[in-house]
Amino acid sequence: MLKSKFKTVNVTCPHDCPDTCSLKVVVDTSSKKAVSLKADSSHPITKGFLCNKVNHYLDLVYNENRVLYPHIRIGAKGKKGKMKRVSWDYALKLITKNLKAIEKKYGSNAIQPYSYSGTLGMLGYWGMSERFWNKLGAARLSRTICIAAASTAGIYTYGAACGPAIDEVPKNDLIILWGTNIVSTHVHMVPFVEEAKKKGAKIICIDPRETRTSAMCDWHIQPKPGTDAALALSMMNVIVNKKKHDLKFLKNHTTGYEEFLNKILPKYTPKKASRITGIKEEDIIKLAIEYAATKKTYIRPNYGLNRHRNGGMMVRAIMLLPAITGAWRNKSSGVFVGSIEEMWGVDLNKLQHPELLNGKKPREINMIQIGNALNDKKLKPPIKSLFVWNSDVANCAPDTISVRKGLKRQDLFTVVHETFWTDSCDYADVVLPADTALEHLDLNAPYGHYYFSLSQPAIKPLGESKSNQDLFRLLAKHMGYKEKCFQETDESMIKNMIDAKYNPLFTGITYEKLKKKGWMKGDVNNKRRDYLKKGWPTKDGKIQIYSEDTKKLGLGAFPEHIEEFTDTKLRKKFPIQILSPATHQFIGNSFVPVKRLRDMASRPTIEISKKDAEKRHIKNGDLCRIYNDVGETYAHAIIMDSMLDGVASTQKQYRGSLVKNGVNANALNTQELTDMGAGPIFYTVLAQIKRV
Amino acid sequence: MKKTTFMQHESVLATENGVSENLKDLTWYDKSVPCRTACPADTDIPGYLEAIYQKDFDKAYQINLEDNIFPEILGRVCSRPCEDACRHGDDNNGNSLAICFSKRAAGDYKSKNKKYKVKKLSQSTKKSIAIIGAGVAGLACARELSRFGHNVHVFEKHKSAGGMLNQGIPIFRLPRNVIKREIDQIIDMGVNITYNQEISSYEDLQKLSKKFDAVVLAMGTLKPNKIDKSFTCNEFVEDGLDFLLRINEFNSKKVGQNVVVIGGGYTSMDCSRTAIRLGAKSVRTFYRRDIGDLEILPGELDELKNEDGRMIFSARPNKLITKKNKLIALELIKTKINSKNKLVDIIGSKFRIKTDHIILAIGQKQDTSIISDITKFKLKLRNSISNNKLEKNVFVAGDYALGATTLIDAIGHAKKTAIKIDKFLMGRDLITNVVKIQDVKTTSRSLRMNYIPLHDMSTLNIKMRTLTKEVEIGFNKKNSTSEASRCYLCHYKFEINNTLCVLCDECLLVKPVKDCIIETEKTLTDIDGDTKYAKINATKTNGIYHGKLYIDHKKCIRCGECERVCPTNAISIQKIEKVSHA
Repeated sequence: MLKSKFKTVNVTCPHDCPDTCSLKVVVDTSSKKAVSLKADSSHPITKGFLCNKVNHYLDLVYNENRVLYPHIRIGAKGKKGKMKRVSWDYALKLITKNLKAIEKKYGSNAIQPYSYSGTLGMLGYWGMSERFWNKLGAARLSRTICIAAASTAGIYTYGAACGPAIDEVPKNDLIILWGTNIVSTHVHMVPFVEEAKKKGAKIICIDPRETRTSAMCDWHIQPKPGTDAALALSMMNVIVNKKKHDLKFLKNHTTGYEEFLNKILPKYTPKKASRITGIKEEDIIKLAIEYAATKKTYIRPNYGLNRHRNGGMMVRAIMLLPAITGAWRNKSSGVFVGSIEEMWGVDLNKLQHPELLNGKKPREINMIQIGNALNDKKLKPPIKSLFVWNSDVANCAPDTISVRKGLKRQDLFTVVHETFWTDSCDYADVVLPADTALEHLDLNAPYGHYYFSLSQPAIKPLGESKSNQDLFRLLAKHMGYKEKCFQETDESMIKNMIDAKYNPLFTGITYEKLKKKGWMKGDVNNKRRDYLKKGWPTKDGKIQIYSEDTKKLGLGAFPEHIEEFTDTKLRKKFPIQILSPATHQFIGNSFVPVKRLRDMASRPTIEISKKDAEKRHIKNGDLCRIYNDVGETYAHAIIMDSMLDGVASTQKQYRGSLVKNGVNANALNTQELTDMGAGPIFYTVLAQIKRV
Repeated sequence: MKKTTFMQHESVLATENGVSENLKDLTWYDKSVPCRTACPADTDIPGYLEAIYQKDFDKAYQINLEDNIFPEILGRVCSRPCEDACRHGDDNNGNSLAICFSKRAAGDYKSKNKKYKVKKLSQSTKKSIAIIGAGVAGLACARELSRFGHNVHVFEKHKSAGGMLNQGIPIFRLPRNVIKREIDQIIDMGVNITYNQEISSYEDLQKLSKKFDAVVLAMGTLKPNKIDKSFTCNEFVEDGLDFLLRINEFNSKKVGQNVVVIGGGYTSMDCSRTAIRLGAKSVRTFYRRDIGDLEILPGELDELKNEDGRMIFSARPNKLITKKNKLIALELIKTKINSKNKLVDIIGSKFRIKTDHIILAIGQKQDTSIISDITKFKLKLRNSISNNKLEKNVFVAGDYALGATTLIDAIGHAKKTAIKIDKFLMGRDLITNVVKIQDVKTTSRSLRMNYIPLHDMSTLNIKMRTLTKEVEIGFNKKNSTSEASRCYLCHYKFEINNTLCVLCDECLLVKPVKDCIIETEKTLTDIDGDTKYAKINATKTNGIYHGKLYIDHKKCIRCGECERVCPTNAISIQKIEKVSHA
């Protein structure tokens, strides 16, 4: 038998999920292949297990669907399989030639980068790439497609402060999972919830859908989608009426509470809220009383809420609940929408070198409105080149038909840097091979907890694939950019990010220590984070019940319930609200190449209520056409007793090419923006469903 | 609140915890623990294997003693239906556990000076029962009836008890002190045995039936089968059982030079191996069918060959060849299975084998002379297989009902006869079966144990083998616990609570057996506790998200890996024991 030596490498899952797991990858040093990938059992969040997706990660790394070499398109745009392999040198020359020509003729604003969370490593997400675009002076991209509304609501209300992370959950007696299906999208929270439950905590799920998460909770409350602000405000109404609020806390730590208590809350009687939310009055009262009567409470909203037109307001209203009851007094309690506002606090001057812009002020295009931007004939200059990495724009952006129409433009020079042959590759002039997390170095700062981790390369990049960092280093070289920062190594860039002066969470963390252990907890107990004592990072150190920011936006200074749909005619024409939450099998549409996962989600589905199904003569499994004025898609019906009438739920970002008409639920979505943060309104969608 | 049921957990058992008489729970046990279900005597096999693994040999012996009455004897000569059923021997799972040899280890390593007793289950009933025949069936029936509080009297025509144990099984396979030890334990229960007393007529039987509250016919099968008149016994042709009786009981040593044994069962093997030991120059065993049809113990054929015996298949005796009234050869015909699956002669395939001593081991049947005056006695005897009764207060136990079977079959039947007699006499259900269900944190098993190979039984060197030296040496202590550790512990139930399951695939990635964990849309439980499932058809559903994971207890090998990797403790383990309650 051949002698094999094995080494274990610390890798971090880079995918768009709050859990950011630490992985132990075993590599056979003789074959130089990764042979096993397991969860790090020492990591306090990962806890030695992985989700159903990352458990098959090696199938993703060694996947027949991987792009391994640069290719150029030889067929028509939008058609499969018409690609020709070329050398990196050829591809880079072609790209630089085109970029330079466009820059010269139309200006650098005509070059549009497009990217999101294909990898959430700090380098891979926004490192070398941003230096490159700064130097080129390319158009900016508002990267708002996921958390913008919620994150902005949090910043408006609490500054950049984040609440206690999920490992604090077991220290609470009442936990509300608000608009989150943690079983499918945040699975490492489940053991903490179970632990709390064992200790006697009550677990409440607030979600319009029945999910496997709601099934494991003690109480499932089903508001109509988009009405959660009314529910939260009504809870506060009950709490204040019963004098269960913490007046002292409100006085010391909030601003604008008096007006809020006197003028806003009285409007939200349980009776009114019941009408809005569809929840029984007595349930609202019961929920409010239980919440207020419990000292240690923990609310975990997630990003489903923020995909409504009124998403910012809903999150803001929910986030104020612990301020009303003073739950924040307990260090482990409060509300936790995520840790990104703090964890991603790195010095962008050092990371992205904005000085390279050299006075240029490029225009900014919102990634949600890329469809409009690509097709806008009045846009000056027009977008002449789209450079895509970390994203399958053809499936992920809303209003797919418009996006794909734009992508098909003959005069658009499109580059796609991808790990797999996604639907977007079909529209590319040049496809470049990207690597996976196993193949490069990166620093990971999770958005669902406070443990930093260093992901180290376990294997060499497969084929001729390259990391995002290396791609932009090479591009800079080919463009003739001489600045030293384009030669900076990944290691040096990471070391520069780990800066406790800039971000107190880095206190005590060094690159070397991270390298050895793989992960380290951010300094959550740092004195600079003692918001109760030092004040919140808002302009007056107080929680902004009254917000100048929202007032400026024309939303009013206080949280309110705002109806999502005011057009009653439209509501009549398209009576069903379509939700498209994350699936259990994929993260966005990453992991589609894994056969096991594709098999388990082998067809698009739509969950609908019995009544809605009967009305349309739809039976379980029937293929249905889902359509509105924006577009249409197809899915097989799953009839659920628990689904609310007038609501249906399909999969988020299902790969379009696996759907009957080639596009997923994003074909139904508009390019409109959320109330705060300019995010997408993926769930503020009305449609009609018909059996095919 | 509206709720669908797709995530609601429904346990495979009706009872959560504690003692249950529920049919669903009892059936779960029977369907999940195949070795015990296969044992005619209902021996708590997983129970005693677990005791051996814990090095508690006394307990292991005691469990056996209660269930099958003759642990040390069966530990040597049982036909082991349990091993055929053992899940470790399923396709791709390796070899069945050496259950029989483990039983022997329990006997070998139990405390030597301890008296092993079984508890009486009832106070004295003042009922008296006569049993005809002190073979295993008679003795087993006697032990059970005595345990139920009855006075038992056994009538034996030979000078000692044991029946086929003494008369049929050679000493080199079953030492006589072992037989004596376990029969003494029965006598110690207060069972009376009258030796050298044959009940030989219908009148005798009638007398017993009047004098005793019940009579049990346990005379076994002592009437040899015959080929035809030409093969009538004489000084050259002998019945197998007569041959063995002559050697084992009467110390005769007479054997031919070139011995031919006819037959493919336990007795033929014993005759051949005995003849070899007596010094026959050649011993050939002929069987008219093929190797797969043999009814012998595992390894026995190998031992025969080791001892220089020859076994020839697919040949049947046709004619004796004599010269001057002396047997000189046997003519045989080769056989084959024809297209209609029938055994037929191959035309023109006659051949001769030189021989001066033919032993016929072609089975035996009941001697019905003492019941032949009873009307429809043949039908009644046949019915006694299932109802254990002949007529009035006359019951039947063991081979006398079943025909020639095995020790364990006879014991199992005798146990049932005892229960029926008790019910007949007392109108009570003395014994009820229940299952005891208890939560446990873990089993003692680890994945490593799945890969321990079957331990071989060590045997006596060929040169050392004699008529009386036991050939099988037994496991040493270490091997016995190691062998017991191979047991899958099928009496533990692993179950996934689907409301806690997060579908992370961790368990599916470590499952050692194909389909031990199933992704199913739903499971359906029969009225008698059998669970059926339909595998997820992903092309017609939303995948596993709306389904559930189900651990198939008929495939699960209780390695514990799934439970160890489950992050949400969705997998529970329960120990299920089947207990007879008195």
